[in-house]
Amino acid sequence: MSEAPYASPFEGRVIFVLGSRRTGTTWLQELLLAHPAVVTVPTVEVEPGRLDPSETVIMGALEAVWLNAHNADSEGLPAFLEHDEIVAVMRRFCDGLFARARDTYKPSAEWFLEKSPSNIARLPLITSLYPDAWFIHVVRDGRDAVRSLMDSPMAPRTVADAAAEWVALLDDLQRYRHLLRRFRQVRYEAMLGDPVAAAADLFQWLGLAGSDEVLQAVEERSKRQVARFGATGPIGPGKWMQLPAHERARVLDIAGDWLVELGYIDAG
Amino acid sequence: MRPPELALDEGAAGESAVYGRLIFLLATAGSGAERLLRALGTLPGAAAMPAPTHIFECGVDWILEHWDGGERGPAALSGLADAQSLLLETRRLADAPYEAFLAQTSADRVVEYSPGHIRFADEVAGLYPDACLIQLVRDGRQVAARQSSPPHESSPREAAKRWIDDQRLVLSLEHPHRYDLRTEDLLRDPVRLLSALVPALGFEVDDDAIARAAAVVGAAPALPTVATGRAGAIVEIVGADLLHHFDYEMNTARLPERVAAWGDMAISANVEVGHRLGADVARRLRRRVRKVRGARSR
Repeated sequence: MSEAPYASPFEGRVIFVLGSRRTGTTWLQELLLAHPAVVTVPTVEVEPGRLDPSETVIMGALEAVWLNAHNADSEGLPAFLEHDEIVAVMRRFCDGLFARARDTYKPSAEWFLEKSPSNIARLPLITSLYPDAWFIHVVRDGRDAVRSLMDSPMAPRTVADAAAEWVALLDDLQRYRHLLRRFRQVRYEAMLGDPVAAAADLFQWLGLAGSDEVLQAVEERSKRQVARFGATGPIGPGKWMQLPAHERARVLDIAGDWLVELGYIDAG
Repeated sequence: MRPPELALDEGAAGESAVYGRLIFLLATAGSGAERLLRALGTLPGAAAMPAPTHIFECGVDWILEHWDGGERGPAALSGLADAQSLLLETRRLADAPYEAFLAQTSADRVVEYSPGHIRFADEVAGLYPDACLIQLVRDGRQVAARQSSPPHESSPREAAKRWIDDQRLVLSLEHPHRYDLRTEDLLRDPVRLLSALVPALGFEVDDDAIARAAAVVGAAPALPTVATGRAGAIVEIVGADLLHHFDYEMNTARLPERVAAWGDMAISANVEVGHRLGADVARRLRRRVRKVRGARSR
């Protein structure tokens, strides 16, 4: 029986990589793209050796349609279409654009990978359109995510804002977790320790054959410097200690509960 | 940011299930478009949508705005497909309510009015090169005065600007099937107006059909005229060319209303400059504070 809202060419073959900004989602995308069956919009080489993420924000683009679909004034789309029909129309829109991207970047691919950081906040929309999708959440020590975000060109105003963003997306994920039928959570730090093993595990979960060739490609891709936005230092956990003491304290104030929950710090 | 060219290829539009079957009424809210909608809906083979779809102001525009990330970076739909492909997929999505409505009725053509669509008339024209677009114009002074009176919440300046921007946008369009008519003329002599409009829309109907449609227009009570006040005076000052273009009587605002209109516009201009200045100073201050804090912590 079909799980998708209509006979979709990507039924059961769309992967959403979820995670806050600066948590390694682009890097995981790079690893998964080593598989010949997986395609997405490629990273952009803004200068030699510097690969910036290219995100489609397609679910954000559909927010207004989604709002229209929930018009409660007997107007808008619900006046003419059943909710299931609206969902099918929206899925067709996404599938159509995904198919065009596949044809452009990797015509032989059968799976599409979609990654945009704020997708977590849009999970009710995403899971309505793609109940058959696979969701992978990358979690990283919030202190490192905050430090990295503050060093990036898209830094929010304060460290508190960055920490609040990390917390808000985890809160959202917790709220919408029940909507995700196929869900895996991976730790950035574990991926960093053994990217090939992490990718192999995910390929197996997805039902994709992870041949030696594929795993070798993962290893090669794992060395690529992606989404660093000009940073040149070594990659690794624990760089949050470079934050000034008062900023570290602020991050702990805001993100402490989640850091304990995720095992990054002890409750004491 | 939207695609630089909004025009969907006619050939691609030809794939649509509602190709050549849509008639969009483009009118600022309060222009009396509902009367024309009902009238056209009586024509043989036509059906009027019973409710607005809002599909452009609450759907299509937001999609097209995600075409390119602009200064925010490469994040956008342009990574997925070329502009024509996006326009085609968006057209398919926008077609859905019209297709469903046509399937529910035995009609061949559908007439739709969503009050917000005129603000996105360039997108309507771009995605629907095959549709008919009817711009219905009512005296902007009357429209602005009504839209800035209870229960509407617009200020006189906003209401005047809305009418002016709407009409300018539609007039700027190059579309093969664009028509305009004045509400006042329609109400005064619906038979004459509809006799000219209906065949141009592609309907082959007899005099009885026109008479039935005209009766729908005529059956409604005449639209009352209100004092246009400051909103009307702003329309006269800023949109004089439009009033002239649509052949409305000019210079009807009294001196106190004109003075109030100029005062309103001067204050709002100063407030906008003040806001921009304030935001700029705050941004610079924040940057400086961060630098100082960083230096101190190092």
